Amino acid sequence: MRPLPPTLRENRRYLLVKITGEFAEMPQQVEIYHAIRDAASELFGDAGSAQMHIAVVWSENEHAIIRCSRGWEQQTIACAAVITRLCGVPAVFRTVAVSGTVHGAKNHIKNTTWDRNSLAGYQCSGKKIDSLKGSNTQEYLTRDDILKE
Amino acid sequence: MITDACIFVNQDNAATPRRMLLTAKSCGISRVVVCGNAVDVPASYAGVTVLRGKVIAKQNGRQFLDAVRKVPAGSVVMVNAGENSFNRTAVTTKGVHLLTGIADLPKGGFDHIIAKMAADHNTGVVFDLSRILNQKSRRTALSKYAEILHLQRKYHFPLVIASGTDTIFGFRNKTEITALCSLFGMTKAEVAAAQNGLDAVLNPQQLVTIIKKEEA
Repeated sequence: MRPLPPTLRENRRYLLVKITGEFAEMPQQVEIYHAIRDAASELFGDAGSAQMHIAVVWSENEHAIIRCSRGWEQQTIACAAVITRLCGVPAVFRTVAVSGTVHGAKNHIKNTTWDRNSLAGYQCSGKKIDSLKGSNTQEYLTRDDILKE
Repeated sequence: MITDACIFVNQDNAATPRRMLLTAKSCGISRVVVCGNAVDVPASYAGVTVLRGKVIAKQNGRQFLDAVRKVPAGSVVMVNAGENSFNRTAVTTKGVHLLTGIADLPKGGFDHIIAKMAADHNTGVVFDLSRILNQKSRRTALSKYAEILHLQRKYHFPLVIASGTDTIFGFRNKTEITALCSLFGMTKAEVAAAQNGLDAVLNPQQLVTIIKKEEA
């Protein structure tokens, strides 16, 4: 049997999201899917979320790609935006880009580079230093905070 | 200038004020109104301008006026909305910039008369996105915001969007804010206007504006 021609296939959109949270290790793809599915179900109900055809098609490190039907991008972004916890810890899904292909979405990934030698701390997205072990009581610091101390 | 009309930065927060501002910058926000008791808040950091804000809770008439008067000059004054009569006083009081806490309004707390008063006195109404992100208050917030938006389209009082967050995880970027506001029927143009709405509240348009003549 011949495969379905592209013109007859369902049109889809791919959302690149960046996941930031207090994870010991990054959550698995299935955990991300459960979070986005639950959010869609809460916001739009079962009927609405069924029409959206949400799926998580790829995830690596702090990035993931969420698939949805064309025309439902805005709603899917809203679903990702209302997620406040993932695997029981505070987290946020930042929508980076919307594309028509997985490849196009992946083109928007920007990897951050780190200078590991200058200051001791844990890596976090956006070139910030997180959970610095020290006498500081505050958990989230910037480089300027550390230099000030 | 994209503005977040209310974030809370306290001394015992997990994140330092600088970290909060850096996160705001990564979300494309260029100005924030900082409420809370943090003392070490820079006037500007990472390209984000900071305005100090004060939230005044619902009080009796005399106490409310005293509280508004005691707010330091240059601060953005926000008043927590309450019953109808209190809200009428709040929006017409000189020195009050924004009416906040709309999601917790009692029934009939904000009607067309208050909407007209707010438009006349150029008092803004804050849409707090943290109430939408919170699962428990989401339904109430969405219905109240839709009601307020309906009145805003008729009376044209200023609308302002705030994240109302006290953590770095509460910020949302422009795309996400547009998507969240579309849940209660706000269009993309209205969201853009609301994000820049604080300017209209702080520097209202005058009947006559003096423009200095450029020297040739």
